[in-house]
Amino acid sequence: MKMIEVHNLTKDYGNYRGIFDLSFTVDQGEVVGFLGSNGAGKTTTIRHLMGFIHPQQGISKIFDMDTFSAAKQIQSKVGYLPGEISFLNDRMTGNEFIRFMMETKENVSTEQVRHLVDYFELDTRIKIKKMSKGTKQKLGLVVAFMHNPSVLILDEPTSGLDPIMQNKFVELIKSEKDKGKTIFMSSHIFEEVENTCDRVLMVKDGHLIADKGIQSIRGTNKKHYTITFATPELAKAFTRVHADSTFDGNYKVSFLLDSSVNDLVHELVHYDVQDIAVRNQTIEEVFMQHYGGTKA
Amino acid sequence: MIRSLMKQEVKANYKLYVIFLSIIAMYAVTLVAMYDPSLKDSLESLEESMPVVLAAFGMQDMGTTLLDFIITYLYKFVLIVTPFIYSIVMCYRLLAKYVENGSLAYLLNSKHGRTKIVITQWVNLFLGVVVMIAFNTGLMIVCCSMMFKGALDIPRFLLLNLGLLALQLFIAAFCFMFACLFNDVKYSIGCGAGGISLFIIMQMFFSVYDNAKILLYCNPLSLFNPRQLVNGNIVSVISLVVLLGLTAIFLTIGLLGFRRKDLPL
Repeated sequence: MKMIEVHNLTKDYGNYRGIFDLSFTVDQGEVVGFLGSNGAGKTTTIRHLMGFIHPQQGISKIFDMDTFSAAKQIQSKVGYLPGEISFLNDRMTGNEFIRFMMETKENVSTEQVRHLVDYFELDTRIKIKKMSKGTKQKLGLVVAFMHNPSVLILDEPTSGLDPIMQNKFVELIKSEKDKGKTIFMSSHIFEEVENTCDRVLMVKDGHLIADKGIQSIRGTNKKHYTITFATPELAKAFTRVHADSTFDGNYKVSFLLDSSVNDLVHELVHYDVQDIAVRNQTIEEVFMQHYGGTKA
Repeated sequence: MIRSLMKQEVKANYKLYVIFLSIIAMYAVTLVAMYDPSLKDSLESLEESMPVVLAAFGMQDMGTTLLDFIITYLYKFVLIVTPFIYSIVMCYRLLAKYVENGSLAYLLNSKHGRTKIVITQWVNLFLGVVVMIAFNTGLMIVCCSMMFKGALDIPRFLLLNLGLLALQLFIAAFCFMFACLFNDVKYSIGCGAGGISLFIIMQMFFSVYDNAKILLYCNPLSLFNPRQLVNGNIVSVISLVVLLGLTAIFLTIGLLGFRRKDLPL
């Protein structure tokens, strides 16, 4: 059963900003990651799903109802975590805000709230304006999950959380998935999505460039190496052996490598190496490397 | 109406209510205490000495009764501006702020739609205006009866305050309409505050120049004419109905605009 449906959704803000002809669906019980760099159109898509903005073209539906005109009916069964965390009144304590949201949402079980507060080790006695970014994020998560919604829309849920809390979040998502919840979460961190999602949607410049199961992506994440040689001649010699590497014309050679680190180390013994820099590929690089051709 | 939001707003804004009520109380008590029936002659000579300055603040033709005295010093400027400032501050705190910082998203992520949120915040805004004017009315009646027993014509004074209430509801609705229509604080608060300020300045300016009297009546604020209203002038009473009609129109436009617009949350 399709819980979220988006067809040809377009919102043009000018200057190539916005989203263009976006189409995807999310089935019940699915956890879908929505990846893209800053300004790629993630938040614009979520604003449509939340009924905050009208589409210029296309349709966005949750529970088979239009997300703008039927927002009231939809929203009572949706849990939402905003990307930018700011609460109604900073002078409220966490506890006051939680109580306010319980009254506003209605039918919230105190049990569920207590469980979430304990689970995230949230100190609800402090005033919101005194809270750290991570604590505010936890408060936002408690509010998003408190009314046991069947669909969750989370905009960058782990931003500000420490690694332990990030793991707890991943566990929570897994247990919610087991209960049959549908989860749609945006992120620009590949690992977060890799650990929780069944499927990944990738958006770039407002266009959907990939819609893939996580299994087909897993393991393709290579590392990006940049090696600085002592002389340009050595660098050039190295490039001749590795045809897929790029040479900056000076001392540096860059290339992608998956698991054969041992071979590389053995090979580099024969060169005079000044520096080795290694970083993870950005999500975009991962996608462009594998699905580059599908770019709209 | 959303009860939890109503409760939360009253809790968050009660200090502001206290401040505004204190300002009004200070003016009301001081002014009534200053009234001295024998001062009439010296006030007349003051008016003769600087007619332009006094006219700008609506203090020309001061009259002689306690009610005239109160109208001259409070109902031409102070009681127009003070509740107006309250309305502007509250339009920001009740709606514009939540749109600006995105926290409206929490309210919308519930079974309550946009209409219910807007109606709750109207009630909050209007209740403040009503309380402020009722407080002023009650306090002045008490002060006058304590200091000058029998000098205040109470039925006319009540009619005067009914008129002030209509004007302040009109001002609040005008400001609230822009808070509903625009997302950017520059416009959502700026248009309401700027519009009403302009009307007030126009009224001050054109009261001075007799040959511009026609422009005085192009100003919605002139629909509240305290001196004619207390004399039971039928046009002034009808003007109040017009003010309330405009209030309803502004609220409807604001609500319809808010329901349709894109929110930057």
